[in-house]
Amino acid sequence: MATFDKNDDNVVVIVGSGAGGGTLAHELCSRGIDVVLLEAGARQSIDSYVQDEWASFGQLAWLEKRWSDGGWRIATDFPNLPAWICKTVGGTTTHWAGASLRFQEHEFEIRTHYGEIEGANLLDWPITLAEMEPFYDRAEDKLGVTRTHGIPGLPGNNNFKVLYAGATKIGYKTVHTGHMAINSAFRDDRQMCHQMGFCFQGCKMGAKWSTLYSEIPKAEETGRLELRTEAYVLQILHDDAGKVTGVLYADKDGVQHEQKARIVAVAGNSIESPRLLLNSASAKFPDGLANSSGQVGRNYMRHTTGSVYAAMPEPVHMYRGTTMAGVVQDEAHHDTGRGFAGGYEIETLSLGIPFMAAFLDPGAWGRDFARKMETYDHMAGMWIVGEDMPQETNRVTLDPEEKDAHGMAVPRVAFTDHPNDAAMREHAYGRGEAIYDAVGAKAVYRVPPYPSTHNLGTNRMSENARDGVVNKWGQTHDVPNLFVSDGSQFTTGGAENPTLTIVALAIRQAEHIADRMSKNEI
Amino acid sequence: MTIVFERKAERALGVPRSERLRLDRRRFLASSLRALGAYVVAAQGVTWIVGADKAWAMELDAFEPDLAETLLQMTRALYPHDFLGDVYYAKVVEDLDAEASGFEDKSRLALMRDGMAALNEAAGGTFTSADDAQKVEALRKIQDTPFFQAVRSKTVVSLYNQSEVWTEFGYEGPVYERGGYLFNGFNDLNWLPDPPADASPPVQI
Ligand SMILES: Cc1cc2nc3c(=O)[nH]c(=O)nc-3n(C[C@H](O)[C@H](O)[C@H](O)COP(=O)(O)OP(=O)(O)OC[C@H]3O[C@@H](n4cnc5c(N)ncnc54)[C@H](O)[C@@H]3O)c2cc1C
Ligand code: SF4
Repeated sequence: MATFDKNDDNVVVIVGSGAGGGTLAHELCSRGIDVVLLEAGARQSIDSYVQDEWASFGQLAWLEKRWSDGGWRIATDFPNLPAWICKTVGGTTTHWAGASLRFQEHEFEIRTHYGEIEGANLLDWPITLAEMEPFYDRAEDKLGVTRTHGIPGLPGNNNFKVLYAGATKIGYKTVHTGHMAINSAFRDDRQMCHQMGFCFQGCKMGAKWSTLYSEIPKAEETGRLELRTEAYVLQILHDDAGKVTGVLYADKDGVQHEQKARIVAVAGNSIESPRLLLNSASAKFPDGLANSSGQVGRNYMRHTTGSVYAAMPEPVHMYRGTTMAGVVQDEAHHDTGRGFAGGYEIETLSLGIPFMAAFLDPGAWGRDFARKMETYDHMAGMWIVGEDMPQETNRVTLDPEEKDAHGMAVPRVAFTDHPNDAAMREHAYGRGEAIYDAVGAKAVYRVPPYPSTHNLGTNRMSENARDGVVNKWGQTHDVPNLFVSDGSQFTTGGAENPTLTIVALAIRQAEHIADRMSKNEI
Repeated sequence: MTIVFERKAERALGVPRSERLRLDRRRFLASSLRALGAYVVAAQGVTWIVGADKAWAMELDAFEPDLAETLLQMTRALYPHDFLGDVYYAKVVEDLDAEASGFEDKSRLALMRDGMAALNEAAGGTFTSADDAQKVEALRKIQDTPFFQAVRSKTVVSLYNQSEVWTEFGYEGPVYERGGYLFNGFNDLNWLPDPPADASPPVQI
């Protein structure tokens, strides 16, 4: 690993080492660019991961103070846990399940396809699927996505068997073990999946792609990466001309340092990235950095989600094997005949006993709840992930008073379903129940959305500077040497799990940055 | 949770060393972990929860006997699983006790004590002598209070976070040491037809 001087203003500083930041770091380093990667969390490894839900949560999750506001049930049930994301090297690619789906063509242009939807702040992306395809292809190769590049699909587990039988019985056609960034056979120095069933806890086989053991070590090998862990970025600094000059961060002892930079790329996930821009307000940028549009922090999306678990007539043991073991894609298209715009995917899901108790019906107690828990070994489970509507009032803001240990304002995350979101969820719950009823479910449980695992849209991409925060390269409209490199760039969310798209955008962005740097344009 | 409680039980009950229970660990697991009828005693000013067969005991730091007894019954009423012995609910009380004594001031302890008083009032006397239906009714009356929320949210984590409880629910938990479920039944379900190979390809070994 390289080390760079804090006054070296030729480095690219990246904030956050997750899907976006970790990928960008590797891609830039392999193009000969020096990178300082600042990560708030500590570094774990496949040896230090623990197969225990709460212990792992304590090890990996972002537990700094946050507030949930708005009409979603999370504000009541989990007032300090709006999102379930990570603070560790590798970011949320330690927790993620590995489902890797491309956006559909129309999902880059929903303003055009869906028209005006009241209360929604729809906008077309400034890029198309055709432009993204080569980068999706490279991302799939990087992640080793099954059913692409000749990589075989994963074998289905018990939970998938139930899903498959039920879904095909009610007429669904596209049902399989998914496109997963999990090795079905040894590849890229990573083991094959041993069906541990702890994908959310960090894969101890290293079978699941994570920037922790894929992108970051490769970047380190180039000799151009310096990773600083437990480095919590507090502010992005700029000069009188309005160009960023570096960042201010606190180390693990709380001591503050300034790191100079030629370019800063923000990839702290969709709550921390806008928080950092807002917290970098100055006399020149009183509303926060890159916020001339007023869109920083707005249009917060989290996918329309929910789970259906079913008590089946015979044992299932759904926790054995990959957490997301298969997908039904027949509802992913856009068809307003169902009473809503956009579509959703259905994916198997499983939780262990500790998390099931916490999430099955948050706040519930008593005999009925206990009886549901007692069906655990007979349960099959699925998660729905659908396109939600960007709304200006769903947003990340800074608490006007409360500060964290470093004196940085605590973020507030407000979210309320759009009627389209609610209609989609209702439809999806119904279809999920039908799948399990078709194979004899004794009872079905509708489970409300978990704290947000997919956090998107709070620094969105737009053609025009007035509509969003970044352009088609993730470069902020206002500050030429400031980039956003994570899921907060998403103009809209699509029905697909976001990480493949985050990675594809990071590859594309790296190429662009390297090109502009070589021409001395940034 | 550790299962080796014998010594503590002896200390609490003043059992002389010579009469120490010699429990076969496996029998201890089967019988003691399912046993009901745990009780609370105070010995030299320290509160203990003791298993009905005296095979285990838990020492509390902050709670008086009546508070420990109330919480022991309250946690079971919140998440009643008839196949779980009292030891698991006692473990929750132990966690609540540790939490209360961890606060520098006595605010958490006061919350528990005041909460118990309110719960007794809601039960029309003493919660611990109410029958099951009355207990549920009393809990319902106080379910929006900070006391109830504090106990419930702790219980839902602490009760279901015990590996012996997982076993009772048919959840096997960590499997790394066993090489993964790949070799331990990840696809052993046989009451439905197997999906075709294009939907679910064979293991690539
Ligand atoms: C349980 C779970 C399952 C998931 N499953 C899937 C799936 O199957 N498919 C899929 O596509 N997606 C899935 N996701 C979502 C996926 O993990 C995220 O979309 C993705 O990791 C987001 O990438 P990111 O780069 O935006 O942020 P992250 O990966 O979250 O990385 C952000 C990093 O920035 C760091 N950071 C933040 N602020 C600062 C700061 N101020 N200073 C320094 N560092 C900072 C954080 O510590 C973190 O490490 C899942 C998520 C969860 C929680
Ligand atoms: S199921 Fe596979 S991918 Fe998931 S944790 Fe286990 S080995 Fe890793």
